[in-house]
Amino acid sequence: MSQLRAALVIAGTDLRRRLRNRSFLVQGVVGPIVLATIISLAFGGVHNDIEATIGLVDADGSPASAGFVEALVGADTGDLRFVEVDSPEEARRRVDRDLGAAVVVPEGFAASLRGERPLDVEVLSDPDAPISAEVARAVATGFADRAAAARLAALTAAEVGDRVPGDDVLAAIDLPLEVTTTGTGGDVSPAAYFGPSMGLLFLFLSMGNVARDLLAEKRVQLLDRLRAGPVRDGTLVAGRGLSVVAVGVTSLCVIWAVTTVALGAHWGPPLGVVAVILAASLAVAGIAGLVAAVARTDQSADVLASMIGFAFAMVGGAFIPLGSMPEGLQRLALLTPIGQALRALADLSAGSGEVGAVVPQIAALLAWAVVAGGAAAWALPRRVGAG
Amino acid sequence: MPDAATVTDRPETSVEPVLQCRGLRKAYGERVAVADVGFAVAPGETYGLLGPNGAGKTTTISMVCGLLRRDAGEVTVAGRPMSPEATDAKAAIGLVPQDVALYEDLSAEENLRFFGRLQGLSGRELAARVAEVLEVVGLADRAGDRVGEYSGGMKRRANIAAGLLHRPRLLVLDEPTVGVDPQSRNAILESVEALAGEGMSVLYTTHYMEEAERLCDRIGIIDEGRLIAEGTRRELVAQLGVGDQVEVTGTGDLAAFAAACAELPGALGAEARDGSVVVRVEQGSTALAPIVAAAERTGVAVGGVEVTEPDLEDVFLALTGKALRD
Repeated sequence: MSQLRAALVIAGTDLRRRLRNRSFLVQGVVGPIVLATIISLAFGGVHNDIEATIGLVDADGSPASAGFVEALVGADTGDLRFVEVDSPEEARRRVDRDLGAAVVVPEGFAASLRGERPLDVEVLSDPDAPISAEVARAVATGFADRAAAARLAALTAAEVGDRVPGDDVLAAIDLPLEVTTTGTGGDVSPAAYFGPSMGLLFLFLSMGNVARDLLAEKRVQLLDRLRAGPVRDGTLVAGRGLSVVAVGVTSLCVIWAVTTVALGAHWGPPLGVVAVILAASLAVAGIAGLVAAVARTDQSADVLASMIGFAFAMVGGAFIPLGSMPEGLQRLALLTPIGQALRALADLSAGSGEVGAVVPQIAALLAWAVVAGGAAAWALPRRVGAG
Repeated sequence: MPDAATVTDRPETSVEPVLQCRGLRKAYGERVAVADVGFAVAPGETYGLLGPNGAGKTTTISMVCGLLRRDAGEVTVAGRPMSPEATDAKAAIGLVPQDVALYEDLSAEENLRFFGRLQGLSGRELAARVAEVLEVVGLADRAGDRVGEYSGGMKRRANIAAGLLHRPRLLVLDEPTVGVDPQSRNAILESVEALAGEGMSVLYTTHYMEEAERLCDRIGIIDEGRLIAEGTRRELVAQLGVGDQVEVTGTGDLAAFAAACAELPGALGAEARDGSVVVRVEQGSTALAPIVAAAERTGVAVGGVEVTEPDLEDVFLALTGKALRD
């Protein structure tokens, strides 16, 4: 009997028991889908198209800012509408009413590009319209980036002794008319975001089951029976890990299918989605193993799994789209496996990234799997065999 | 009382034992759970480890099965050295833990298929063995029911079945009748007797003296982590040197009758009590006729005779100064 076959037998039986258990259906499928649906509706419907009105304020009056406003107001952007607003004050008033967000090019912006410290492009947002805010932020960032590039070109030219470019160069700033952003901006529907986010949340919360099962099996000497057979301790642990991965992949794939069919969510290219789901499930398996190695009782396993699951979910953007978070939190989110998985899936959903574009996130998830799983592989066999 | 070294060396026989333990030791910090335990189980032999709760029985079999790393000593199973990593030695063992070590949400058949696959069985062989062992433990007609729906006794029988699947050279049963009703207990004991009858070697731990006497060819008495005596039931009782007890109730000169009995060949002593005489003899069955003759000679009218053999409880009491179930 090879140890690989033994691990597969253990994983297969474990998976069969979980799939047969109603709590899997509730925890792994129904719960995430129901929550994802509710939150998606709360975030403004479950369809893919973004309906938002963004105000644009040209307080600068420079050719560059005028071009920016003119180009966007005249562009065909479907349900995403850009309207010109006369002043920053008016924009502030209207953001609470008919505007989802506004972008303000401040007075003296073009002139500041020639100085040491250019002025900031300001985004006014409504906390109740996170997607509008994200779109506005993406538009502002795009404009600021192009302006910064033009500034750099001008300063470089001056440095090498060429003629200092005038307003004509800065006016020729190429404006980003395509409103696409990475992450939760772009055309990521709430269902495509909260489907996986709730699935991941429940997957992390279910980590306590692994520890609870191991403790129960140790209590009734089932582990003794398994260990008295021709099966190594490492094989037992690997079998359980495989089962967690299988449960994770099954759960997320079912959520993917249901949200796609029932809610019209678009998760992105299947190959990329499967790769992210697999990597996320491996990360969950590694961390679940670590929880099982540390937990001493059923209660401590549950508490630990809940703490880790909710912490990762809160910080990782499971409840609030990554793009709506403050910049610092967005960086922090990417330290969590949920944050990495959601970033990858949002990029895939937005269509801005092919599979290759989410390789860094997949690598980060695999790093979680390797580090946590490695620690678990070292600690768990000792725990399993501890007298 | 034999010393441990004597006990350890004794099982050497010309036939290679299925299980050989020498000098087993396990300590948890300052507390020594098992010290210098050694014994052997021959092919087809049922060996009992008898001792009270906490005596070190489970720790010993945990080392025998490679579940626990020993501090010192050797274990070989079917000629292969045992350790937690020794999968080849473990393949020769079938462990039946004290608790019902089965998945309650799976049927008995599913449980057996699972454990059978882990033992390397597959296909028709697996199906045939599952059906066979279910028949042996009398659960064939309930094979498809979930274990969680079984009665306590049925669970125990399914528990034993899982240890038999791969026809182990050595079946290790750790107190399999604890907490079981008398009917199920009897069924379990009959199953073990049947397995022993088929030539399987059995290591059986118990704190029930009657089970050890009924099932085991040889018995090792363990207390406070040490094997303090070993042998067949008769050998262990003989070590006591107290012999059988014959109690004769009757009327007449009981003092003279007791004195006459004390002089009989094979008599170890006699004592007149109120309405009876208690005679201790080497062997009760052969002493009966001379005792009855002595009663006639001394004019005692015999009302009744009862022969009592000392049991393992007496042996344990004599060896440790405490009762087996203290």
